[in-house]
Amino acid sequence: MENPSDYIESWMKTQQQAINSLKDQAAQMQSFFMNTSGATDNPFTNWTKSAFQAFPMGVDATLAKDTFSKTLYGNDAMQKLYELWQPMLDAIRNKSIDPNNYADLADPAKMKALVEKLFNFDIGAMSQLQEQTAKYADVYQQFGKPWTDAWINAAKSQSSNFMQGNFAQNDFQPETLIKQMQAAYAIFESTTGKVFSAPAVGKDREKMELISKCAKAMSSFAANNIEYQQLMQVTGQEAMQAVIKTLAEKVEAGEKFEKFDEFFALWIDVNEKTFNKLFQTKEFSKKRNAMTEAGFNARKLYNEIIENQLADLPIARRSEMDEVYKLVYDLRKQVKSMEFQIKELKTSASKTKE
Amino acid sequence: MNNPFSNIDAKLTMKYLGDFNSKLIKGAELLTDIEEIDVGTAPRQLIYEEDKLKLYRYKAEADKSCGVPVLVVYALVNRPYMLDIQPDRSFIRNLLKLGLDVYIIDWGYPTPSDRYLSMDDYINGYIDNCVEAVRKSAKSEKVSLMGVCQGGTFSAIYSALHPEKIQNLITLVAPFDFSTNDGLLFNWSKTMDVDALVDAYGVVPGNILNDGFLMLMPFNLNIKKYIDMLDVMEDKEKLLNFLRMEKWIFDSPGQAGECLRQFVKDCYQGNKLVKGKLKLGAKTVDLGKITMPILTIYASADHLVPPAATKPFNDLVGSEDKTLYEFQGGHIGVFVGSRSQKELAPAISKWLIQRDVPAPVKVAAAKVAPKADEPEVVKATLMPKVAAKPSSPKKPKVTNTPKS
Repeated sequence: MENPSDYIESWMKTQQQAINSLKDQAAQMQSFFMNTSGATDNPFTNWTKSAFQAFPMGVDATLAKDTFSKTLYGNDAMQKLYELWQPMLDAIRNKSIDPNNYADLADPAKMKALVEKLFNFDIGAMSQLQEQTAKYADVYQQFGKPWTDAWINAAKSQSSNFMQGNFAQNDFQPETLIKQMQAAYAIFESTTGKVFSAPAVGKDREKMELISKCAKAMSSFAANNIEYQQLMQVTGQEAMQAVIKTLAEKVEAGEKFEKFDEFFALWIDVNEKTFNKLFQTKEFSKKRNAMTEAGFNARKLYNEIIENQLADLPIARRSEMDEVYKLVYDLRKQVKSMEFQIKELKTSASKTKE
Repeated sequence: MNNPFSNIDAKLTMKYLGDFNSKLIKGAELLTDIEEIDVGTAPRQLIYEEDKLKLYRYKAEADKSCGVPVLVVYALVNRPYMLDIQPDRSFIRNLLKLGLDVYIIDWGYPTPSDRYLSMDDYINGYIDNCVEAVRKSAKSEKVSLMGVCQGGTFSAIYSALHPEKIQNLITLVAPFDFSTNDGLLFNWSKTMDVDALVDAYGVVPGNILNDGFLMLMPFNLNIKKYIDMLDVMEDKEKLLNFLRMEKWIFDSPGQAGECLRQFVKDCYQGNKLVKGKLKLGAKTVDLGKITMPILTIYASADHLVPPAATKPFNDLVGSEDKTLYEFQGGHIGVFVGSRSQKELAPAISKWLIQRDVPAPVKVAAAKVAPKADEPEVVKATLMPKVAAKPSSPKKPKVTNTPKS
């Protein structure tokens, strides 16, 4: 260095470079670990995709892939759990808060997403079924299309409200939504829904009646399914409250978590117990069975509609195959019985000869 | 105020995420290396087949300790290789090492053409034909039946209907008294509309039943189990063990609709077996007609078949020689748990040897079972019905409940 000012200038440049470098690194880290909403699932999503693409298809690759997927699924759930509780953890770290107010920091929408993921709630399949039925309804019941569309739109809008919008509100009251759904269903039944019970006329009467029955069965399934999901979501909320209560007790007792894993274990335990309590109730059995029964009935009727569609094609239909299966079953029994009789006769004949 | 999270900081969290990724990457490498998840490796020979069913005889691993062959009847749900999940955790191999002559029924995977198979077909048809095949193969007048879970219920029903062919009856974690509400499955099944289920599917997909099983402990079985898997992902052997169980859990055959319909309606909902009202074909099942020695094994922490569903069985049978055995563990731990490897097979073997028949009853029984490559597969025909002597109970023994 020729003079002190050069030295200071050089030192400042170095410092600036170091700071810039740190800033760049931080930005890179941030972009890697954080998505725009501040969640930490980006690297997992990207990595999962590339890992799946890299999987070879070997003898047991499907199982390995499936297992791996479940591992990621489990970890994704853990990520979601972490996101759910992160605001509370931050708040606890940064300032002392009243444990009774912890609940305000947890986002019910995230809890709901977790419950949905865990119990495989899939309204997509239902919507698809509804749309397909609507297409058949369109073909065979032109005059009923406006009503069918209205019904489908109503069902979709209700589902959408339930699944996305309303639940995320902090002042959300699940019972209110269910009452709203029940009221909407009652209105539907007493107005446009009547068309589905009305006797059909004309050359395609049976087909139209079947479509009406199927639509009605699907609406029944949709209603039962939402009631069932509501029960699960409410229990999810109860479980969240139970976790909060347990945490509050730990706070008061001066206990600490060393690792997130410990909190995870507590969370699993409390949730399992809370849901198990629900599963033991008659209400749960009743609602789950009502939902599955309605789903099975809808599926059965839907299969019949498909069969009607395929009637003119040169292919064997399900009911025809069932007849064949029954025949094969009966014939097998007869053949076995006869084989047995022949064997018995041969044995007794050989004994007689001796 | 103290808070429980004061020791968790962002650095630790990032470290966790980093470690997590490392484990996943290493695990992914191992997963791609694994080409085969081997299960059910104990050598065996196919001796009879009928429709989808296959009957195997395991290759002997020791001198025969018991003259009467053992026929294992597994449940229709899931696959029987759970009993031989891996060489060092194999209930079957443990029995073979103790000199038992073991046969097993593999029900196969029902297809839509099997939807009309009934409980009568399974019990008075398939099981009876297998018993005949075993009698012929082992040249033994009688067979010891060993039923697992639903297979235990079926074995008991068979033994009540055909007591003359059964030397001993062993049931493991099998339900008999369905009136209990101890288990969630029992609770849920009582109100389920099985007609709607069977009518919708014909052969009910295994996945539907699996969903029910996963619902029993959703957080542990859907999330925690896979988080815990991370800890074994870097160890190939442990990972393989995990994958073997995983393979078994999700390897769920469909259920023949008519059989499932009757099982749910008559057993879970009607509790007809215990009430003496269960009908198979033209016959009514009377558990009082079970007069052979019985060994009833239940698991103390069984969440699928609670002890309350199993224990009453010993009070319903006509046998005088009956043993109730409590295993400290769960439904699956009975077969794959590390304690089970040391405890269960020896206990069963000892019990069987004590009740083995004297030589005259056996018909030229071989000292050891034939090798796995030896011939004679009987295919899809019925065995000639060998006349068997009626069961003659031995002198009464005190009912006991050994605990480890």
